[in-house]
Amino acid sequence: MAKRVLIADDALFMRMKLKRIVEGLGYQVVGEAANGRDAVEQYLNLRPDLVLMDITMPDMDGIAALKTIRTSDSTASVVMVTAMGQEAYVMDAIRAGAKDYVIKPFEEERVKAVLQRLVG
Amino acid sequence: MIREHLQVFAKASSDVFASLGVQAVHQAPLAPPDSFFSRYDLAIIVGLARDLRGSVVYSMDTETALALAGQMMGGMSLPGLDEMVKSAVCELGNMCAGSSVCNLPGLTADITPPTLITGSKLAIMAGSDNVLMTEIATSFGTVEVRLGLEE
Repeated sequence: MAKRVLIADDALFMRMKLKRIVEGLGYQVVGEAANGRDAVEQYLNLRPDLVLMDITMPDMDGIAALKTIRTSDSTASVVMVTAMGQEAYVMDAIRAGAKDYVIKPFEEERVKAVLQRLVG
Repeated sequence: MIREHLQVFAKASSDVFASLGVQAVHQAPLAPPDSFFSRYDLAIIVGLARDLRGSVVYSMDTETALALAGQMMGGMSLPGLDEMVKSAVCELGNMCAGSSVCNLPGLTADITPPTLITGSKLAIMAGSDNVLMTEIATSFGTVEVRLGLEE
């Protein structure tokens, strides 16, 4: 059974690009969220194996969403996806329990390596 | 220092274009803008914070933006600025600005989410007095980079 992935990014283009990569690698995208609050809600409903989480999002940012998810599920695998220039936030996210991060623009191989390491 | 900073933005942005498979050469001089009005009809605005405060504005023709977005989507031909294309163009600005601030020597700067504006006679106020612009020639058209910094 394919591992289940939730994608959270406010940029429609990035969600499309990540979905194409994730599905191309044989994983199942079970949900897409455009803000942190929706990401939390979908996580609690869907319980995916991994979340690809943008940091800068409206309503609730990715780090706040990560913390909320980890409060409910301390084993949650959340990978931060963010643009260069926001590395300071990545360190905050790692301290808050993010398992890894991907910097945009990213190579498909980088996403593949992270997914395989965390969910197989 | 704005001159050195704009050089960094132009170089880093050219590198981002190249990473997307777009030939890009920064060869225009750095100069103050002669007008608030852009000659282009599309602009991506990214705010700068922390050590570098102000904004960077990437301006181009809609046709250039469509071609760049199409390249980001794997070489697609795009008929117009729908939501997906606008999102891709904003992401391009995000990547260019993000890569640029990472290459600023000795400075730490954050970027804000990009804002896309379109229309003829765009008035771009990237800052008050401390504004400099240049252009990057790409294989899909010219991209103007306007950097405005607070003193």
